[in-house]
Amino acid sequence: MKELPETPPLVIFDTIQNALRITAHEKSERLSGIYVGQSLSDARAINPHIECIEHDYSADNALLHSIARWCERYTPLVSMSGEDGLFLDITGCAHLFKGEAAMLEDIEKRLVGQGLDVKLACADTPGAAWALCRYGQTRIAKPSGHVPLIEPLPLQGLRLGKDEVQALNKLGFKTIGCLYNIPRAPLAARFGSLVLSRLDQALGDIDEVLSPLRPVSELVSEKRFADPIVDEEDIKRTIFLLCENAVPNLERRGLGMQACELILFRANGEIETIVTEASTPLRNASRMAALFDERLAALHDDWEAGFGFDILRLSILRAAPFHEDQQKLIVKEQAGTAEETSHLIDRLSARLGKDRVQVFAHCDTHIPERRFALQSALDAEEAKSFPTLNTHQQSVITRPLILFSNPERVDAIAEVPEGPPLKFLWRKVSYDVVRAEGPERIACEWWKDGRTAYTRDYFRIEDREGYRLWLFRHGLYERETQAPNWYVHGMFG
Amino acid sequence: MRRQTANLATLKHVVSSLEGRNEHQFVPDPASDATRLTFGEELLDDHLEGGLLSGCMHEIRCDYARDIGAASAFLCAFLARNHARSGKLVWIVDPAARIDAGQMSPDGLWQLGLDPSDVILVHPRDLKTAIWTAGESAREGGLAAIVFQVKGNPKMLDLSVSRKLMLRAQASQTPFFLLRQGGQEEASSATTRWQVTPLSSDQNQDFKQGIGPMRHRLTLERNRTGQTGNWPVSWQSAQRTFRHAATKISPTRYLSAVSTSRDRPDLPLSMGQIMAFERAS
Repeated sequence: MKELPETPPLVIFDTIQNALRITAHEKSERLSGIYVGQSLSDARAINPHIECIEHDYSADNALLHSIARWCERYTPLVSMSGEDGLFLDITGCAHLFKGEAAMLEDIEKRLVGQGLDVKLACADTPGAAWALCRYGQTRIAKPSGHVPLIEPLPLQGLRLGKDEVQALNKLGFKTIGCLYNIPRAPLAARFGSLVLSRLDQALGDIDEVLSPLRPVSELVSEKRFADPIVDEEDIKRTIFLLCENAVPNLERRGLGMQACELILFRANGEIETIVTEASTPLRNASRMAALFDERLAALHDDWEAGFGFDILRLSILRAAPFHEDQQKLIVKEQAGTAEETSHLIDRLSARLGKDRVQVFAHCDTHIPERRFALQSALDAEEAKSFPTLNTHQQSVITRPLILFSNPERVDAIAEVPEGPPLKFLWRKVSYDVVRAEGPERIACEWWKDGRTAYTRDYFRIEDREGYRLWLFRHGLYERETQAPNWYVHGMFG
Repeated sequence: MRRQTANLATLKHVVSSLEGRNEHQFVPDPASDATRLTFGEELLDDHLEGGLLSGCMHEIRCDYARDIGAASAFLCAFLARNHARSGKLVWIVDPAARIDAGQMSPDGLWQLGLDPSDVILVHPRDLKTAIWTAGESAREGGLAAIVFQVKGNPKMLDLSVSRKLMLRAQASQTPFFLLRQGGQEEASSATTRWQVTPLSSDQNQDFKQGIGPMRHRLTLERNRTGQTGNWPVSWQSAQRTFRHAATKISPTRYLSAVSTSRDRPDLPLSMGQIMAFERAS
């Protein structure tokens, strides 16, 4: 933490073993005599003007996560290391930043510029880098040169627990180097396998797998700017160029884009992410770019470029085999309209959100409100048609066009025990039934609703003015209930 | 008859071109019977000179919110009849209309003759994005039809917006229907405006007490290319046509007011002859 002028010196405290103790404090001349681990009352006695804030671990974690996202500008493989560190797998990335030294300098400059205190180290293995970063003097270990560098470092550098370090220290092992040339079997028998595996990981004898925070994309194409871009037109143009850049790679693999993500790195360290999806695999740069245009337009109102963006990165998250449409020449017109429609679905889904553009999905049940579901048009499988009704069902209308997802309770006068309603009051209007068909009995699904759920008796009714409605009585007289309720469930034409 | 109407349309076209009206005056193309959406009832189709124009905006409204069932069923049946044009049907629902209009059910669509898998439902967040969606869909050429369902007379959907939608529908030659639930008559750029009210259904031939084919009163309130009028029509689902159904159907009550006895012994028969009783006093 840096010193902030004109404010009282800041310390962070937390309850450790039933005592309020300082866990962090700002680096300042004003806080001489105050150290991490000191009790808060002692610190207050030394400097009564300090401002104390309780340690917020979730905020720390959130900050670390946002830094991790920001670090994706250097490599796509960023993973967390405990509560206070990050691993960046820079294999094959360093040359893009003019070498490791320049890359570390760039990271340090930018993070310090954002008010953070960082320690960096670079080595062949994550374990060695971890040790060097925390306890070492050298920042960059040359290729295969990390073994002598971590030799003099204390055992804490092996990412071991406190108890293990203390026990090893008692036996006279003070540095990592002490463990290099001793018999392994007794060590494993005494301390378990962790000590040895940590040692091997640090030395590079066994591999350590880093799990990146975010899944690795199929393809990434990015553009960096020396001067941040602000203008919307520039952004759109860049998106188009990025899409165009990705297309040949997709072609080579025989794939089409299904979901892709645009990450916009702001100059001030913030990150904006836009994800779009396509209903059918896409390989057309202008269509891919059009999806982002819709999203940008939708975001337009509550979104400002601010200081501008210095990196735009397009990553293709999901790709699927792209089938060249061989039918195109023969039935050109039909293929054209299907393609246009899928493009419309993509654009509407991009702008409105994919759950707002829906198609019907069939469910195999008799309960009317469960017979169908609405599914996002993007996820819907191609050419899945509904079970056709037989001709008799088609000529007689038995199902309402409009179905209320929540049946509406009505006050009805009806024949007992199983007659149709004669009169009922729905939405404050009275309906005088002149014709009725029914009952059509639909039993409950006892395997879902339980055995006590009521049976429904459905009636199609027509009132004196010509309104055709679908009502049901909830429950059978005497067998299930003494006073069944009536509900309106749908409207016919 | 059809020949005559075609001639009339040609004459109108000639007259309008002589008058120097611009192309946006919705003059029907005389040789384009194929682009008309028909009712299948000569009375109506002849009145409309062959049917509704395909690449235009048509408004269908109902007076009361509860008439939406009738209005949307009429529209679905009409679209099912004219669904020869392959393609998807985009149905955009303004969130305000969604609250009490319920949800279209695939079974109901099937029974009116529309394949539910052809329907794309769009539920935008607000009216502004709904209008954007409608405009964007109207621009697309490959759709069977677009339905934009709104509630009442929202201010945002003014004359200039409806004009824009109309022009886009015209450019893409896509039928565009504005379905207005519980709205007043309002000036718009629509070529025709219809009001739908439910009527008592036709007689069901098989089952007298039952409900027959649905009947509606269609009121053509506004027609840019001809006269207005009103017709009672019934939907013949087997033939997928509308029929003029002027015969008055009296809404007689087919239900008995008192329930008949069920599952219990009949009334006891009268035993013998009832004699006059003697005076008690």
